[in-house]
Amino acid sequence: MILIDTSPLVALCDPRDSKHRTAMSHLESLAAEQFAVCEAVLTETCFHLPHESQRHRLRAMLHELGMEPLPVMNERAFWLEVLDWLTKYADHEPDWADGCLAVLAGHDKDLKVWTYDREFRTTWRRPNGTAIPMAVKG
Amino acid sequence: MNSRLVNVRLDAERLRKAKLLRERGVRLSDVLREAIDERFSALRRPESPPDVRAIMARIFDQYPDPPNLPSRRYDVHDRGAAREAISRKLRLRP
Repeated sequence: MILIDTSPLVALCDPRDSKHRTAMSHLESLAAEQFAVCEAVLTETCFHLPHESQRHRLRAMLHELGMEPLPVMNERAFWLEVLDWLTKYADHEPDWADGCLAVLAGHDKDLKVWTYDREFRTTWRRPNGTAIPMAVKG
Repeated sequence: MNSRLVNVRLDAERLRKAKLLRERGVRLSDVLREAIDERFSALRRPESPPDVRAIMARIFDQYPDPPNLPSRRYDVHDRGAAREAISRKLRLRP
């Protein structure tokens, strides 16, 4: 399963984004995989895609690419885990969505994160201290 | 992570197999978890990958940007710039 971060989701929805072509190419290479997205990433994405046409495309993409919502249960325990993770990396000022992605990657060993954020490769780790599996090269 | 107890009924033959597995040091809970993950992945995996380029082309045809759509004034892929843009938008809220 591929968990999508804000940066590739925005890039896919916006043809004028600097990483649109890269994201399209990555989408093709990952086409056989199941995609998932968390609410924090959707919230950030909507900030960066404020226009009607962009949000129509986001909706269509979520639907047509069959993106699954994560997490599917235990929301309160999940929030606490994310807050613990944010505290651990407080020096690096991560956002809530960063914490959600790192914690979700720790829940499922088969989950890979699709992101263009450098910190996921260089700094941040899953709650158990292991590297976060990446869906694409940086 | 929180977990929930699930009871599974086994017939005599599976009970025998389960007993043997346990004797060999295999944890039955791990067997069940792995089986669920595997079946779930197979369920979600399409036989052939979808033509995502065609899907995306259709989406862009269906929902084009209007010609006068203003460009974004910051780089979403620059963490600091993206955060500042969100903060600015929140500050502007009445």
